[in-house]
Amino acid sequence: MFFNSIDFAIFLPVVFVLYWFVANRNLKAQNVLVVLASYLFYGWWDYRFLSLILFSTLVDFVISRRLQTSDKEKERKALLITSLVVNLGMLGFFKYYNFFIENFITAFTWFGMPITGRMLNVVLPVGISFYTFQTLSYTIDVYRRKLVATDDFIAFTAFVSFFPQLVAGPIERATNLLPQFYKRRVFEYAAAADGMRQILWGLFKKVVIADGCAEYANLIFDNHGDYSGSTLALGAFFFAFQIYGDFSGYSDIAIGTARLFGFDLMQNFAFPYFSRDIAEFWRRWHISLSTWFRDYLYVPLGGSRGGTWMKVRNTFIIFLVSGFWHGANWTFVAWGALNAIFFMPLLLRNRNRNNLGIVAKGKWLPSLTEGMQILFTFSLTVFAWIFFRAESMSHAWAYVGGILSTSLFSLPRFPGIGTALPTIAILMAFIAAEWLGREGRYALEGIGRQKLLVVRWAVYAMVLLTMFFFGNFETSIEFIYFQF
Amino acid sequence: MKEFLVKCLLFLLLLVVANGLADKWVGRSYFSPYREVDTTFGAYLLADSHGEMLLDYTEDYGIYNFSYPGDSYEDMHRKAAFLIENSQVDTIYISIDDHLLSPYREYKNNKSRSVIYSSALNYPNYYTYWKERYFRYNVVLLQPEVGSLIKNKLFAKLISKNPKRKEEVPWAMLPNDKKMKLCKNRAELQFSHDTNSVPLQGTLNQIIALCQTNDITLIGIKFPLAKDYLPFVHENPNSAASILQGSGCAVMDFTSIYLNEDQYFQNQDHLNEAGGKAFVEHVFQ
Repeated sequence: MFFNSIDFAIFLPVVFVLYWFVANRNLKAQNVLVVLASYLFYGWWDYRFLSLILFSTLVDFVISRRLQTSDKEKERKALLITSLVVNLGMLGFFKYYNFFIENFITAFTWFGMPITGRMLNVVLPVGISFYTFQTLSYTIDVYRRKLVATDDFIAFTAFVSFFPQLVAGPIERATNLLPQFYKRRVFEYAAAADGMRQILWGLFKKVVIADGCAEYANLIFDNHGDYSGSTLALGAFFFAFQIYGDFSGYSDIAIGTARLFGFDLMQNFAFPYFSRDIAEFWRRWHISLSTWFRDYLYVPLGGSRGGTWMKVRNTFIIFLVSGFWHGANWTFVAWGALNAIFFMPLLLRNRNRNNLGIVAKGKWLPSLTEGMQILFTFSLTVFAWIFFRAESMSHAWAYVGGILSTSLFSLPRFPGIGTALPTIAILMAFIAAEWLGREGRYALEGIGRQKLLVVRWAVYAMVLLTMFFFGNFETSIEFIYFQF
Repeated sequence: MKEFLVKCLLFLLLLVVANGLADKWVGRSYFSPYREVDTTFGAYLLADSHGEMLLDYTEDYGIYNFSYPGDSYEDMHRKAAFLIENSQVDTIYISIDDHLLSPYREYKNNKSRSVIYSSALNYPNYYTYWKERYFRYNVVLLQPEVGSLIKNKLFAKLISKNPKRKEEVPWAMLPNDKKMKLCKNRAELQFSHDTNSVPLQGTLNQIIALCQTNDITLIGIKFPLAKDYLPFVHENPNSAASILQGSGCAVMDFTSIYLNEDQYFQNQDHLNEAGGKAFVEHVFQ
């Protein structure tokens, strides 16, 4: 079920009413309802996916219980490895099997030893990368004795399958989300109203910004050979906002929906395109995944404790794995590698933690230096997105080659450029709104503190009208991150 | 909770009012013409904009022109099912022009309107039927076309109180280079893919099966094209015509009948009223 679908518009109020008016008397009923709603939400795509998530839930529940009671280090390690093998095995099978087979065949053929392999015709279960990482974090935390394994199967099932963030995050830590299933939720007006506001903003980002930009990004990327360098650069710019609107919009809807049910999820995006360097960008983009890799991969690998070489190696590993997590294609690996390369100068000069605060806090505009830093970082990011969006490495190189031509300095042109002008104008207004709201958790948050009701409702009406006139409701365009 | 619910209901009420206003302002003019159909005929013509200029001349020959600009095979399928259910139809003439199986028609269609002709049988389950037929159809704010119409009306009012329509030059009077440009643009839109749309081809097969099951004679019609446009048309080996022929249906190909009659064309692939009248006489007399 997509967040931008009629199904969800019907599903959400029904579950809300049942949750607060029927199941509100006791904790168990609330959790059972969350599980039922989540399984309905997930099964809407394909009921067969439910067996996978149930299996993953059962495995981690049983293993973590055993991890909790066992004192034998050998046994505990074996249990952890079992969980890793099962979870990553499922992920590997569904997501990476064909990729590895294809590459093995290519490699052996290249060395003059042609082999054959059987490709599988399997559907990638929606959101498998997200819930796999969420359950893994739970088992690893129990193994590290950072968390006590739960004996409440319903609460654990609700934690794994919690519908707002099940298919595209934020990838929640058990230490944050699971305890929220242990106590009965009580309705809070402020949280619910804030949740509604965040849902509205997320929907706006998705149907106006992301889907509006998608139309032109797709046109330019799919026919890159026909266009000038400047048009290709514009296409990459459109894609940068498509993916930001798409993914951060999803996160906003997820966090807002969770708030309606009395849950607090972690912030997943913190205005990443206003970052002053690439390290700051990665502290602000897909925060739940970046911190996951930091805590469960970078730190166990030694982090930044073992000298320069170790830091460089670990940083590359993190970025490459992060790229590969996004999809079974070398383009994602290249995207990860590019970001690692961009990160290196900061790391080697120990300047990767220079920009920790909010840019130009309390001011209307950034300083000239900050402005230049933001533009430079944004340009690097857009360049890397080309690899992320490209169908293949040759597509990416051809696209980059097209940009780096003399036509980069001509005026962009593509069929229907006139219809793109309103999209560009809305994009500019959107960037301004995000800039003004950058001190909150999402751009519209500050509006909730506005005392005058008429101002608040005028802003909501404006957002709604823009969605009505410029939003894409024709087809529920899938969120990009669902494929991961 | 009470305050939250009151505000939600107030918001919902505002949406309902906005929806009603949008429906009254543009929704009715958008949906109403599509609802008009005379169910007393025995033969019907189902086509897209190519059938538009045949107007009601077909009625002189006992055929009701049930075509509408932008109709896709999915719309025609719904209409055919509706006719079988609600009229004494025995013959259906259907457009089999090559662009109707082009993937772009998956998106350019009248599905938001033809939903009124659909029945529960057209959907995988009752919930989807209810959602499409009643919820989406009545919530006009969810119809992108309604949003565009309101936007256009507003802009027309903002820009000028008397928006002037650009006079259309008849096809026969256009200079050659202009004709070539229009033909090229149309071909790029309609034949940008080498293969048929899988869902549309499936729907055409469903139409054939539906007619066969209900003992309806299905006849395919290829509409005339202007001489300049003919070289731009890509005929797919698996064309709508060959699909119909393969199923034992009759096919009438009129593509080339007006190659030297540019005065019958409104543009490269659409007849004008005179052309429509002449064509009806040619086909049905």
